[in-house]
Amino acid sequence: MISVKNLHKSFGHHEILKGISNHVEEQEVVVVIGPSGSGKSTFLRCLNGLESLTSGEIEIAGMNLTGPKTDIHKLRQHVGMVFQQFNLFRHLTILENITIGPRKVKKQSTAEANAIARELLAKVGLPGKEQRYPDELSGGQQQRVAIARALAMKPDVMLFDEPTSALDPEMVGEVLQVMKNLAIEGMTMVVVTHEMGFAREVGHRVLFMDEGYIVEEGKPSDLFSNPQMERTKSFLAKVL
Amino acid sequence: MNVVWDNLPVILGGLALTIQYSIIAIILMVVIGLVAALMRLSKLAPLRWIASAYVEMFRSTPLLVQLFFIVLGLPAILPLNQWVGQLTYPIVAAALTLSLNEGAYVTEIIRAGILGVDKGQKEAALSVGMTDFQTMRYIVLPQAFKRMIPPLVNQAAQTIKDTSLLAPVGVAELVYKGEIVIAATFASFTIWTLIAALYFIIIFSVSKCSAYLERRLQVDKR
Ligand SMILES: Nc1ncnc2c1ncn2[C@@H]1O[C@H](COP(=O)(O)OP(=O)(O)OP(=O)(O)O)[C@@H](O)[C@H]1O
Ligand SMILES: [Mg+2]
Repeated sequence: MISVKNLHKSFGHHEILKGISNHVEEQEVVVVIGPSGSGKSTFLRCLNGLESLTSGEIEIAGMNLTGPKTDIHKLRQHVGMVFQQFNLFRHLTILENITIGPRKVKKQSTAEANAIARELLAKVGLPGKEQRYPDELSGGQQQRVAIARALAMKPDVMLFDEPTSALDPEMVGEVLQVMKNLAIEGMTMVVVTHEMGFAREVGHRVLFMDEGYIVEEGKPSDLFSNPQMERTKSFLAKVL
Repeated sequence: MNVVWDNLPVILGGLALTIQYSIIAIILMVVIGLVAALMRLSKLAPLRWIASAYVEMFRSTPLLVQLFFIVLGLPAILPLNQWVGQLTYPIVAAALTLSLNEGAYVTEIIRAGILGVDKGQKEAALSVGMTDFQTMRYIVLPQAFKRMIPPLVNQAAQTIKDTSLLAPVGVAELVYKGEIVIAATFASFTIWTLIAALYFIIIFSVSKCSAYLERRLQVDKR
C-alpha cells in the first residue's frame, strides 16, 4: 500500500530525513514513535506530498508520488490525513466540513455527500452535531469530526500525526477508540503517536525514528519488551 | 441660505458624480487588489515582481501626481485621446488611476488577510484533494474576508475622500462644482460647509453600515 525508498528531505541545509525506506502492507497499522524533532511529522507529510521530497521514491495507494506525471491532488484524495491541531474549517458547519471535500473534489451531489456525512458522524459517535461550528465542540469531538472528514473521501490509507497530543487527557480515549475501530475494519493506517498503549494494542508494527533515521522496527510486543538498539532502549525508558 | 437653494442642483450634480466615481473605484480597487494580492502570493516569481512593482509605484507617489501624469501627461506622448476618444479618455483614465491607487492599498489589506489565516486550514484543504484554487476559493478567502472587512471599509472611506482630487484633472465632481459656484457667488464659507457636510453624511453612513454588517457576520458565523 505504501512503499518508501531512500527518502531524503532537507529544509535548506538542514537534513531532516536521512534515507528512510519502508513498506506498509494493505490493512497494516504502523505506529511511528520517536523523540521530538526526529522527523516523524516530516515523514508523514512527505507521504501525501504536503512536503516535497529532496530525493527518494514514494509509492502510495497505487500511485507514484514522485513520478513526473503524477496528479498530486488526485493522489491526496486516496490518502486521508488527521492533524494534531484538528484543522477543522472554522467558517463551516460540521456537516459542511465533512462534505466540502466530496462535493468540490469528487463532485458528489449535496444530498449524497450529506447522507454519507451523517453516517460518518454516527460512526464517530457525534450524531446531531451537523449544524454546529467547530469552535462549539470540545477538542476530542473536533478530532473525531476531522477523522470523519478524512474518511468521507473514502481513502485507501489514513495518516495520523499525533492525533491526541493536543487533547485534554479525558478526551484521548474517545479518539483512540474511533481509530481502533477503523483499524479493526481493516483500514491501512500510519500513526505518529506517544500513546504507547495504543501502539501495543492496535499497532501491527512499530517504527522508532531518531535524528532522521528509522533506527529500529518490529512487532510492538518485541520492540517494547526487547529493544535491540541503545537509542531505542533509552527512549523507551523515558516514555514507558 | 438662498445661495444654497439656488445652487443646489449644481452641487447635487457634482455629488452624483462623486458617488458614481466612488462606487466604480471601490469595486475596481477590490478586483484589482484581489488579483494583485494573489499575484504577490503566487509561486511564480515574475508575477510576484510585477505585483510588488505595481504596489510600490502607486504607494510611493502622490495620487494627485499620478492623476496629472496619467490623465494629462500620457496623452502628450501617446495618441490616447484618439484611441479612446477625446472626451472619454479623461473620464476613464481618472477612474482607472484612482482605482489603481486605492487598489495598491487593498492589495496589502487582502494579502495580510490571506496570510492571517492559519496555515493548517490550507493544509487540511489540500489533504482532502482540493486544488490550490479550490483551497483559496472555499477555505482561505472566506476566512480572510471577515478579518478584512474593517480595513477595507476604511479604504473605501479613503477612496470617497480621494475622489476630491479628481477636480484638478477636470472631473466635475463635488469639489469642482463647488469651486464653480463659489466663483459665481463668493459664498466660500457656506458652500465649503455644505460640501464638507455632504462628504460627512456619505462616509459616516458607509462606516455605520459596515459596523452593522460586521456584527451580523460575527453572530451568524464564527
Ligand atoms: N517547514 C520547516 N522548515 C524548516 N525546518 C523544519 C520545517 N518543518 C520541520 N522542520 C524541522 O525539522 C525537524 C523535524 O521536525 P518534525 O516536525 O518532523 O519532528 P517530529 O518528529 O514530528 O517532532 P514532534 O514530536 O515535536 O512533532 C525539526 O528540527 C524541525 O525544526
Ligand atoms: Mg510532529
